[in-house]
Amino acid sequence: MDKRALIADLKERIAGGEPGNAGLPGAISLGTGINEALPDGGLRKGALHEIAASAYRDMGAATGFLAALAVCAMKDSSRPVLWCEAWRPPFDMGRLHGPGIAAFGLDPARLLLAAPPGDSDCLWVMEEALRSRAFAFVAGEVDGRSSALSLAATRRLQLAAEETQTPVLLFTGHAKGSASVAVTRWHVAGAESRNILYADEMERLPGCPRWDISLARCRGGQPGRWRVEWNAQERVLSRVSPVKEGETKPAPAKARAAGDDIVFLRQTA
Amino acid sequence: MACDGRALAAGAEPGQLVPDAMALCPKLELHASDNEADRKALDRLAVWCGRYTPWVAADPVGAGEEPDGLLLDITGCAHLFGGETKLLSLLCGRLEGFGLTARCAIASTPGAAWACARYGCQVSCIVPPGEEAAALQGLPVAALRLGGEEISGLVRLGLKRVGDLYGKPRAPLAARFGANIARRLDEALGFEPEPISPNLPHVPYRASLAFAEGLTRQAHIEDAIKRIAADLCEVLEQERKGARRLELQLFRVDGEVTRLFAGTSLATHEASHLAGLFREKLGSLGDDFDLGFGIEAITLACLAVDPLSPEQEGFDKTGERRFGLEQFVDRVSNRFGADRVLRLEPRASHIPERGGATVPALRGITPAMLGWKTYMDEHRAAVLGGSLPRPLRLLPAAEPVDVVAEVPEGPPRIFHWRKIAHRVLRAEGPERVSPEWWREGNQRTRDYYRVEDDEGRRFWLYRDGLYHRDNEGPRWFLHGVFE
Repeated sequence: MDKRALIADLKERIAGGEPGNAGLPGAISLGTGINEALPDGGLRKGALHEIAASAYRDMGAATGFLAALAVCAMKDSSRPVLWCEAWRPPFDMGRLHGPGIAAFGLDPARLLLAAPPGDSDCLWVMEEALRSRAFAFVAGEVDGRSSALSLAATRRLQLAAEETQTPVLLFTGHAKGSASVAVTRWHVAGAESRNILYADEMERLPGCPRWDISLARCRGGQPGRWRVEWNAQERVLSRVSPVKEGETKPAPAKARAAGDDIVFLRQTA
Repeated sequence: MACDGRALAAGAEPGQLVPDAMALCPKLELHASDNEADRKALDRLAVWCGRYTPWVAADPVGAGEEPDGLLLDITGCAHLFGGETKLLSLLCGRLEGFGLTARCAIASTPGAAWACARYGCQVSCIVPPGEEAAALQGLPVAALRLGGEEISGLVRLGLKRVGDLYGKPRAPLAARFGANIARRLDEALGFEPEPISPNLPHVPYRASLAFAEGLTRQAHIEDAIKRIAADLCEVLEQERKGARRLELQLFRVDGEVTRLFAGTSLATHEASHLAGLFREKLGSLGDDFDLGFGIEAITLACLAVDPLSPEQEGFDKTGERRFGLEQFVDRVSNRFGADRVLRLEPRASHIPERGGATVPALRGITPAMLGWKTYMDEHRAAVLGGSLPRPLRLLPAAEPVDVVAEVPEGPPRIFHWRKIAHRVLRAEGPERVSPEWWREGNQRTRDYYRVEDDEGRRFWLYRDGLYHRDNEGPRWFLHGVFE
């Protein structure tokens, strides 16, 4: 192996070893292991993507995944993020909460919320936002069952995203998505977080948010299912132990490796 | 009682008692007066007259008890319509077209015009400058806008005509009737200034456009708005001003005036952007916007301006994107309303629902928003092992849930929310949030728990009230949904 090949190989390994490596410039990195399954080495920026919750109860998890992508997209841009909620939230899961967003690692000062009166208005606002080139990331919540979400409407978004190289995400709730030209479609479910234990009490506390994301559709990519963790302090999305195919429920906590848990030892005087 | 021309011809007189008038003319048609509607109609007419001059006021003094006229200051405006004579005939013709019987007069002072319109001419007249005294000479003293007692007093003294007052010693009159008569006379003759205070606030910048034929298509109107916006922006640019608030008036052929308002988040003098704002407005009006027989004139006025320092265009192409965000905010705000594009502002409150507020993005970045940075720094340190202290989504109202807990003051083990049972595997808490004592209302202490169920869904629950302190037992609520 000559020197150049060796260096390239090492570079690749270093880049691959970093959680949330930068990926390609035209894509949002989803972490090692997932980037490889996507044709663009990550979530392509100038494209429309769809996110749906696996079930009604997973709406929070899907919101989290969406917010995580927003934070990743904000990292290499100084522009703000637009989040379009319908005026009456279609999913009845509440509205975005400022302190929660801040705790998540998304700077609320860089977030604009739009609340257009209807679904078609929401799509209009999203397209306007893309065309204005003022945003690093555009997200919109439109019920997947809505008649406004036609093939033509999604194509308009896709074209605007391609033209302006701005990622646009459609959050379609938990409904089965209708016909769409979205480049990728993701299903998100909540996943058990890492245990945080106090050694003496064995009280289990929730840890970093984790989600099971599955790539349901991707042109030129490989469908797959991964478990990811969001680190709000580092603002990185990283892959954790893979979910086996066909496994619906995560393994019980006891069966998992001890190294997966964080244990805080209480100091005694 | 007021009456129209036909009633006058039949012998009725304004101010007459109804039985007297009925005796003179049994066929008289009677309608109850509606002062409120009259005043509104007069105000509408004042707005319409704004096309001839921006300086329009509803006349505060009427011949009767209610205001019944309009004052237009046409200084510097008449030549735009081909001179005073043409302006007057144009105005009278239009008013007649609306079915109004108008009496108009142009004079150098409001007082003289008032007198001539009501007591002098038949339909319209123009008093040349300097001839007010001659024009008013033969008119009754009521033409001087005096009170009823002053008029009857003067008539008793034999001073029936305005001309009778010329050259009379002032002191005895003032002693008898007060200074009003002399003041009104001086105002009418131009010896004393009388300002007109217009209905509309002073508008520093405006542009207008009139069309020979009414525009009946929306596309044409949009083109016209573009042209008029270009005119306005040229002036703004010369003066280095940017528009913040704008009003567009569309004058319909039949006298209706549609007024549209738009605001911008950043002062701008970019014509295409301003025109775009009104295009959104017109678009959002949709079918409600009735063009009638067409739009014959358009006025675009800047109600508020801000100084704008000249910006250097960037050398690269990024320069043109500078205002992308502001323009986006303006367009969406003007289409759906300012409360539809929002930014988040932190609030100094531990009560979660008061911990953040939304403000219209039109206001731009407020100083309070810098508080988010402090908030984020504080909370980053507080995160233990990665779990987050506040949920991404907060329900608009906390929803009551049924909870089974191992110990009364412990975290929940099982809870039912929206008809689904959740078995809690992990819980963290309590985080105690005390009510703000300075607020009204019976609020209770809340103990918040972050819980995760066996399917990996995280929720924010709280126990409302304390066991030992409150009479009725604590109740559980679900307040937020974690990511």
